[in-house]
Amino acid sequence: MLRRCNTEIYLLVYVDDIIISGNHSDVIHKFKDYLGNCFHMKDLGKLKYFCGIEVARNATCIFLSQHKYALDLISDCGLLGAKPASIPIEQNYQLALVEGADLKDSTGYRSLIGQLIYLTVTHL
Amino acid sequence: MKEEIQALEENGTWTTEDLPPGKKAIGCKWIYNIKYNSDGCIERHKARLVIHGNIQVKGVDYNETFSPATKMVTVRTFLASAAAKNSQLHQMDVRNAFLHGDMEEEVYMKFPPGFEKQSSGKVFRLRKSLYGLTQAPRCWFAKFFGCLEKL
Repeated sequence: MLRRCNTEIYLLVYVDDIIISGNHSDVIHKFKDYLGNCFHMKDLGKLKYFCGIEVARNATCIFLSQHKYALDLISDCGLLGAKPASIPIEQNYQLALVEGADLKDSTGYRSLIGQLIYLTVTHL
Repeated sequence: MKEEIQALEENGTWTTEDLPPGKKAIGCKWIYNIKYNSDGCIERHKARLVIHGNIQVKGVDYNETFSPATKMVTVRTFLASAAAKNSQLHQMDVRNAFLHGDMEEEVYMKFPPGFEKQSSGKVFRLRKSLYGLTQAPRCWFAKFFGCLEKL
């Protein structure tokens, strides 16, 4: 956070993605120009899409949605045509003991679990 | 691939030197990716040079590797505070972020696949960080933070 007189700039850095917030639009633009001089940067304008999260705002609030992320996830699994179910497994189902060999390549499974966990970040 | 090599050379990523005795040069490889436009047609074929960071030796090729990363909770708090203050939100993206970092350690790299013929026994000494290096995120963050501190 930077503070000069009554202007403030807040900066959030996620590796190479940066969100800038502040109470003065001139100061924000100056700051963006400064960063643009330091590095080869792409100005993406108003915040819309950050780390797989869509950001929409109105006068009073900010709305976060992972709609696109979820849709991409479903389409990558090839489940776009699947029927939605509120509970995807039979209730009180007894899981069977492991039979058969381990997965040959667990990368896909692990990455799917990771993606599903990431889907929960917009939930309180 | 030539484009990427050219970009790296313009960036001052490496200097061509003789490998000093007792030092080991690390290999690298090309990662190919196809970039699509939002309508699904192919925008360009992209080649990125990455170094085999997994064979770097601690204490020789790198020392510190920690780099801070933002938690998702922090992102939400940040946005909530912006909403409460009704302040503007802007977004920027750094191109080739990891290539900006300056190298502190002495790391040597073999010539990239497809360009070995030009090597004539020489190797690259890395002056800037490269994708795949164990310390690449740290180098980038140090560079970025240094730039902010100058304000």
